[in-house]
Amino acid sequence: MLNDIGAAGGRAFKSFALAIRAFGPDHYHSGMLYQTKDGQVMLLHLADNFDLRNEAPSERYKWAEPSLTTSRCKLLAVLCAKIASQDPKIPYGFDKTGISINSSTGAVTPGPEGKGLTCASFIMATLDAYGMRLLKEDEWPRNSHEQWQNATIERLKAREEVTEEQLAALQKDTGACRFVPQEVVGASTAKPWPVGYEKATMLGIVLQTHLPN
Amino acid sequence: MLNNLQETLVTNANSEHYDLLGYPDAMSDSHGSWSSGYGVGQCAPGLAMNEIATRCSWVSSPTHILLWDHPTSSFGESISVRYLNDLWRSQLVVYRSIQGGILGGMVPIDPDWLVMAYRAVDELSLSDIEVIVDGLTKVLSSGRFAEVDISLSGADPSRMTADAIVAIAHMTFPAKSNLHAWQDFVDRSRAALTERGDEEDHLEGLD
Repeated sequence: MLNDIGAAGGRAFKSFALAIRAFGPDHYHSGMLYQTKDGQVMLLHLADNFDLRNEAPSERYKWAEPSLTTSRCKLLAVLCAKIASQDPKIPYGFDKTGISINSSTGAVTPGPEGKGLTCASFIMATLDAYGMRLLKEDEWPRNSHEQWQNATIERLKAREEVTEEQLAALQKDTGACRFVPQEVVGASTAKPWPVGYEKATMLGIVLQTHLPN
Repeated sequence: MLNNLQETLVTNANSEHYDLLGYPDAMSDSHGSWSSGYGVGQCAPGLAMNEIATRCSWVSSPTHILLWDHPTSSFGESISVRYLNDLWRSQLVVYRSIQGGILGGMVPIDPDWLVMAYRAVDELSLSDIEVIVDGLTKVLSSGRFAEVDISLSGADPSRMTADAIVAIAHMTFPAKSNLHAWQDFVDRSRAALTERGDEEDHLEGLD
């Protein structure tokens, strides 16, 4: 289900894949692995608040092959490159409502104050740009990750770039559905899309067993 | 879509039959070079078409001729090795301006040029699909929906690679409410993909 970073760029790699790594027990981070025009493999990921990174992937990441045709993977690889070239400032947030990515230019249109993306919902927003809906989002439960959301707010409070308005808006969105990295990466391997909550959760658990902490 | 240039080419090729998918309007001042395989046959800028045609005659069964005049790109940058292999065996391609973004520079977009570009897309080459994406980006970003509509209604999915169909369908998806020909293009694309046995899920999600 998961491949080593060293295998990216090989024959099995279709120019685009989802990458994931563990930072500790039940703490995962995801991004998009893509091949550039000149053959380099890069990782595009939302690392933190206003911190989108486009870099060579660390060996700590594993990648999963999405159940997409090669054609669509190539299209997404091009889009990743376009997003990276725009270097957008994407706020971290629990609710991605109103945020969109222009598939033509890779520009990210921000949502209302406080709306933002996580590493996982950034992937979903990228897929959405081409009408590729990964998850049946309305099946996701609300109020299931409040502890994590509160901890995130506490973490952001100490940050210089975070305004009072952003914090207030984040507080308001506490309880919003959370799409966790392992669900998003796991679901991407399933077919057909969109994937429902139960299946994505199950795939996420399976995926966790393949990830070293 | 034959014009004088093509007639010249066909005439000079004598017994060879050339199925031309497109033609240049600027070949007379071409700055490019042409290639008949792995870099074989560099020609000087401004090479006359009839001279190219003469040199073409060695090709045993050419099936496509594309015309190229982009000043900076090399053949290999735009057409993959596999495609070049095909050329070496059976085709001559003179490749015009695809790398330079043909879609952005023509008003309206010429559907035949689109088809030509799409035929050049190779399943193994990311850089080839970027050509289409870049072209569409320019046009869609400038809001020239009417031109995209013309292309969508004129493009024939049965003559395109699956890569090309996917690129145009997904790239235009976000603008579909502005494109009157979008749904018809997607429907025709599905039919074309199904007919030739390509994967049915190429256009999944475009509803």
